[in-house]
Amino acid sequence: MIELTSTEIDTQRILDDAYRADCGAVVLFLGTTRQWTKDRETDHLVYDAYQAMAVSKLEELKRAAIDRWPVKHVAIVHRLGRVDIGKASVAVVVASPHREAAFEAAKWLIDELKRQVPIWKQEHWTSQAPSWIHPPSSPGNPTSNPPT
Amino acid sequence: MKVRILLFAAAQDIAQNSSIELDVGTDPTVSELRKLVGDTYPALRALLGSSRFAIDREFVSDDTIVSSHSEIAMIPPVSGG
Repeated sequence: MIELTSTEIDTQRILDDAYRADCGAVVLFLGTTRQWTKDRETDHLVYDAYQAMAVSKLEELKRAAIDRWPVKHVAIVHRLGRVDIGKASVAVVVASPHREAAFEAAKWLIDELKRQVPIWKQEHWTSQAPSWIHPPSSPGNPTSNPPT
Repeated sequence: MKVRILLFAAAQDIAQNSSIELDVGTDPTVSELRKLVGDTYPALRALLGSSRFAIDREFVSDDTIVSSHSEIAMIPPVSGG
């Protein structure tokens, strides 16, 4: 399952979908909203996406993970719109016969999501104007990722 | 020819629009488009330097030729997760 959603991520539902007779491991990664970034306090986050491309990139990542590791099930759900502190903004679930593949694939999927899926986070600070986060050191930045 | 470029996140705020339309010569490259966006919207220049472009939902390099019926998007550095 690949999904962009504006409602709370139902982790139980995505875990229930991942249990399989041929798998001995299910890994769930949740990215959650953090209140403090150094000394700046976040009130909440807002996520925006280029939705059509984000879904297509997530599908691509899912296929790549299934090609690369012996994983039987991959689900990625990302929130859009407002996400309050302590809530999950992203969930990655991987099921595989043995745990190594599930851990490795889940880590690879969230790393790649953060590198190349067109989703953006806007920090709504408690004491200053909101700011979109466009990391200058993002590996997707052309200065560190020459055109191919 | 006319092209429409989709904008997101800070680029959308700067241009105060979810897309911009530009008049370009025939078969421009992404690099020419990038320059034209910066010339037309100087406020976008800083972000353009670190942005990628996508055509029909795939990242493309600067020497890619753009056609008017393509879906073109400016993709600032992403921050999902």
